[in-house]
Amino acid sequence: MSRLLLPFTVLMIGLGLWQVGGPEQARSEQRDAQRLNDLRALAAYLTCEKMRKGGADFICGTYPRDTDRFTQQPFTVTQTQVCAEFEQSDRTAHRFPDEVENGCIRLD
Amino acid sequence: MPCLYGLMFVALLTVTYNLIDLGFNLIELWLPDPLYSERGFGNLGAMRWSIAVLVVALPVFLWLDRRAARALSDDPGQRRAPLRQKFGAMTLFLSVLALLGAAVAVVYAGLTGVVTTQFLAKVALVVLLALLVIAWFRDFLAEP
Repeated sequence: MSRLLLPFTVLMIGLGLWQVGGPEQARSEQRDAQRLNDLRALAAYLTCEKMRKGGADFICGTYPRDTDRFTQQPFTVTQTQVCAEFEQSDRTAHRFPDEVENGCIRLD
Repeated sequence: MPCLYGLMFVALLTVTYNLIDLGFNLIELWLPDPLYSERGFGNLGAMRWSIAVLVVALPVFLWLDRRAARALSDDPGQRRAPLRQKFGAMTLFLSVLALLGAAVAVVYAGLTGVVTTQFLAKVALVVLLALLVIAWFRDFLAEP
């Protein structure tokens, strides 16, 4: 029993590494986090513009980035949502379940 | 020798704390509780930190343990050295406190209705780790 502490710790480290992945996984997550920030900025701007055109006295600032800064692909913009291609779409959706659905943020 | 046991104590505390932290994050990922916000993959940063600490602290602890064992084989009288006894006793004390804390947490959770699978898994992890540490240090303190 006393010697189980070492293999138990090694097992936990292994399980942890299995879940978090390696350095490339981490970089992919960081790219997705940046994509999400860009998507949020675009969504906020479009929502603001919609309200300004509806008569609200808002200043919406400059038009934000509307393309993926890593792949240069344009974000998909519709009347109701803005979407991007995430590398880890499942993880992103899991981390932000109330905000991201199928790679898209709904416009208010 | 005081430095050796002091470092060993700190290394062990570091290993056990980060084992608990990593274990809790993994449990929350695998057994999400819908009553609370799903942090899930949002804890990846915390898990990576725990793994990094364990990768460094575990070999340090093992190395210090080997050094202590070698010192003991050179001078068996070390087994009764006051600092060694204190180090072992403090470690056992904290482990028993952890077990008692886990017992209190279970009773409290039962009273407040939050005895979920996730909660029980976390308690089991704390109990398991406390028992492993107690077993390790029983050998550490035991007479040959």
